[in-house]
Amino acid sequence: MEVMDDSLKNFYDTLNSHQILLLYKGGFNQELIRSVLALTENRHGLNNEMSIVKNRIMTVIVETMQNVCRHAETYRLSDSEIQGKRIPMKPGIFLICRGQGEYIIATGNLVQSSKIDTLKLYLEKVSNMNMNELRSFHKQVLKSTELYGKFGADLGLINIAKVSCRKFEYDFRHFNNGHDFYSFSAAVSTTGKTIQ
Amino acid sequence: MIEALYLKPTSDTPGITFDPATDHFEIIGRSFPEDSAEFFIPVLSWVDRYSKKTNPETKFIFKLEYFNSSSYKPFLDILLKLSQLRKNGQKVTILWCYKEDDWDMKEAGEEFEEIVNIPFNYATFK
Repeated sequence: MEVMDDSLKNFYDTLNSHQILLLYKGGFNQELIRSVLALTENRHGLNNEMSIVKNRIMTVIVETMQNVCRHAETYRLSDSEIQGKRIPMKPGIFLICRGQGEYIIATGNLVQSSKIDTLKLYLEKVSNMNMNELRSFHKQVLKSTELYGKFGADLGLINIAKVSCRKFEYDFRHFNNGHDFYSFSAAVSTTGKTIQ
Repeated sequence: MIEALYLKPTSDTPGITFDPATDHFEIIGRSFPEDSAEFFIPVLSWVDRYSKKTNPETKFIFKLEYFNSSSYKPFLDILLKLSQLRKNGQKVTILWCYKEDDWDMKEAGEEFEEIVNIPFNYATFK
């Protein structure tokens, strides 16, 4: 129990030192997104921000979380890992923290290792665009897309890049045979600044 | 005249008022549904039905606080249907409203305006 208390205290101190406003680990769905937005908007600090800043934070929250809802991989632990019980899991993590003059929103989830080359190419392409290129690419994708329904036709990542104050960051780490852990973060300026 | 379409706004779907009897055509609030097709296909079907028997003038208002990437395409499709009415000689105007300091929302309106080729009017709200 003593060890547990120390761990919790250390974890609490870490959250404080990184100015983490909200941290969630577990399954993702639309209900969770609504709850996260309600919690975020009701925080005193965020209510004092300009409409454009709140909307940009909302853009990154909604696009990143809906992305996890739609594309995160479900995997099963092996029988030996869970002593014979097969439990479907869809792990994901989400956090918002306050940095110097910015809010940082981050997500992490599993992706099929076979899909990461395509994903990396798209992330790299959008990440290297300046604002004019992002506007032009957004219009081009919007005009040409036939996609509908649960998918944002690749516009989500472009929208995130347009509202971010610096390049978004991403990383892939080996998780198990067939899956990688994909982490993504984007920052929104409290002054309304974006990339040029 | 076709029946009006009223959908109350929720925390993730916009409020829709399409009422030819009162000349009131408005989309308000927030739009980030889990499945944009499920929400917007009936809305687009209504616009199709209205297109067959329009009012002499259609003033369409977008007053959105926020919309996500999967709402762009349905909004574009509504605007393209309105653009077609204009090409057919109908009088159609668009009023795009955005929060005072939300120039991203204004820019979204300008992007739509350029694609659908209907002159938009712009106004702010608090």
